[in-house]
Amino acid sequence: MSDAAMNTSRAKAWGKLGFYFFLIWIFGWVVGPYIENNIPVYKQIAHVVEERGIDSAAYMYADDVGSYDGEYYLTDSFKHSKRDDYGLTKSFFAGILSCFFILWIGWRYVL
Amino acid sequence: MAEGSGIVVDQGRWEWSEMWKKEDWWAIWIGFFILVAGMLVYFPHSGDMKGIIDKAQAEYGEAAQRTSAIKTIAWYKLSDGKKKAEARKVSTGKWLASFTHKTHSWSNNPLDAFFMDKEKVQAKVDAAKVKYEKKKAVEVAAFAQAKVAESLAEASGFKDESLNATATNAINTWRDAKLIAGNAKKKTKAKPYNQIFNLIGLGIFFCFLFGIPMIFMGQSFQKFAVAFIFVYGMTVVAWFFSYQVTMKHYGIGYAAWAIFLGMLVSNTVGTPKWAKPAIQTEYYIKTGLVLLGAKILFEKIITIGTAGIFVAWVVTPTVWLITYWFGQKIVGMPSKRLNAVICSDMSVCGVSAAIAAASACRAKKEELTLAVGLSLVFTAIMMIVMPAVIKSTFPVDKQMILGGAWMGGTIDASGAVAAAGAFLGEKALYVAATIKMIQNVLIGVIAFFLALYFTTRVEVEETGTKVGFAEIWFRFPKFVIGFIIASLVFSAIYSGYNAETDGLGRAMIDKGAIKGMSDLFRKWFFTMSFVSIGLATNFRELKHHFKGGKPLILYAFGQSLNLVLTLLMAYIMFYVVFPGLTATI
Repeated sequence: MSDAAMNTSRAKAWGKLGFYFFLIWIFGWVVGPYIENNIPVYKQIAHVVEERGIDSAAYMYADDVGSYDGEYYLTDSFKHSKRDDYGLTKSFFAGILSCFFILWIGWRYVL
Repeated sequence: MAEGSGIVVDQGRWEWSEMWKKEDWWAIWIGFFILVAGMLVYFPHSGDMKGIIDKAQAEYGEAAQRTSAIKTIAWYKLSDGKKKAEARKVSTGKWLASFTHKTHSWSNNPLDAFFMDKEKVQAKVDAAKVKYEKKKAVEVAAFAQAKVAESLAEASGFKDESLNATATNAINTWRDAKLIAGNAKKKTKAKPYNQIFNLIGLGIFFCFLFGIPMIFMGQSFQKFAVAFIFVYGMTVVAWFFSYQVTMKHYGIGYAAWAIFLGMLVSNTVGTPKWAKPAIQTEYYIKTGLVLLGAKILFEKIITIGTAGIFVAWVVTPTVWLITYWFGQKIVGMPSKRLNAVICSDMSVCGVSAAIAAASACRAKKEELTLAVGLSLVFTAIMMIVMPAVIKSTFPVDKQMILGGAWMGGTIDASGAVAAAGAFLGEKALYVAATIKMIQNVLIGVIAFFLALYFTTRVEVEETGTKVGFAEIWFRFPKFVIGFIIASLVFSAIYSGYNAETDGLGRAMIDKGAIKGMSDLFRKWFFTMSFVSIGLATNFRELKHHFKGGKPLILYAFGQSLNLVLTLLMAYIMFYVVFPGLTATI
């Protein structure tokens, strides 16, 4: 490839990259806010996210404060109720064992 | 290690030198180094944390216990008091949080992501104070009403169900107002920042952390260091975009940006050759996964009770296996690895499960990219559609628990689950987020299961030779061992602290060694791995994997099955088998 052709090709590549960044800008500052403001459910979700400080892009439970608060709330609620069907009960172990049993069935007959 | 056709397959015999020559082991050593550092920083403060919990107990404990008919104001104050015990709030923890901080949130001015001067901060604080005062007034009024309602219920000995219900509603309203006022208060405490020097310092630290082992693995440190500038720079840019306010609302997080930006560069101007020594996807991912293991705490699965266990731990493997079978037998997925990764990210918990599964079964980079992409698209859709459907079709009394459990068991990403749950209300948020958390614990089980399956069956089929125990050990992805050891050790420590004082495990592990150390680094490592994936991904190869829309069909089938089974199981468990337990939530 000649130098001129190479330069044109490089310029095209950088042009493409610039164009894609322009599209990101369009989404972030024009299309995104427009959708947010015009779809009521989305508007409410965005409001909730801001108001409660939720990291809606979190991928793991520990990335999001709601998980910890939820866990504490539920644990304390169950303990507070003093019910005997909470904790390390037979049903609880049945749930755990079911998981391993299903995986064993899968290993033996599905995979 | 041979990297033929993109799949990493070990061949040969076990040698002890592997422990310092292979990235799997270095991932374990680096991960353990960070976890041990976390223990050394935070564990000496257990006495202080115990003091905070004991103080809350002394102040509100007795009053909180005066009835189990409703959750009184004192019960909530006890809970709030205990929550103040956070080991990460010690001075070293604060410094670590500031040093490893990503770019800051911004809306219109990109410079806000990196620094903000006193004047601008003051303007923001002033505006936030006005909002906070309004919300505080609402909280104060709600608190007064809650007190009155509670007094009336107490006057009848907490035996009048109607008064109890009125008190519970008034207390819940106060809690909602308190939460909102609390978040508004945080904004009044904004401080000026300049993140640039920290970002440079952190980059240098990571360069040495990952670069020195490269010498032992026979690579050039110098070449790695130069290349790392590029990968780290792209990582910072990915964080920069993910913290833009619109992107945050849409749940487009660091993983999406890292892969997307990497792919943009590699498929337009091309990935520079000099940057390739630092494009070490597996190395960064595996290190992040070892850190992830530390927060897979087994005691947490008790949290939501037996009903939740059936929703999270019975439906998930069922959906995984049926979808995998469907993918192999009906859809005819060309790659078992792609099938397994899609099944994991769809049925377990999205991106984190996808990367654990991909590493455990040694999937190709493009396969992971495709699975993560599908998960992100479906997550964004489900985050909006599910709460709307629940609100318009579910009976009002079942929206919070049943709706929350349904969303927690089906929406892939934790953040989206929290956002969708919060849309319905506080309880829905808590149930949804907790179901998701218990599902997250399954990552370890699924990763181990996959590593075993692919090592003993799939790779045997591929190579056509039967393997003995030694060969299985040799081929087994070692980082999984690091992941499991981290999980077991931290689970034991967590339970030990909780046995000593209720809530101490949260303060020392959740809000100490994990949130204050491993999490600070894990997100960076995952982002670097996603940037590396993007930089090594070719659109054409990705297109090849998407041929016939098979991955999309697989994902749509699996997610539909997941939606049906989760809803059914949640209803049966929460409202038919354990209605009494559900009523206490």
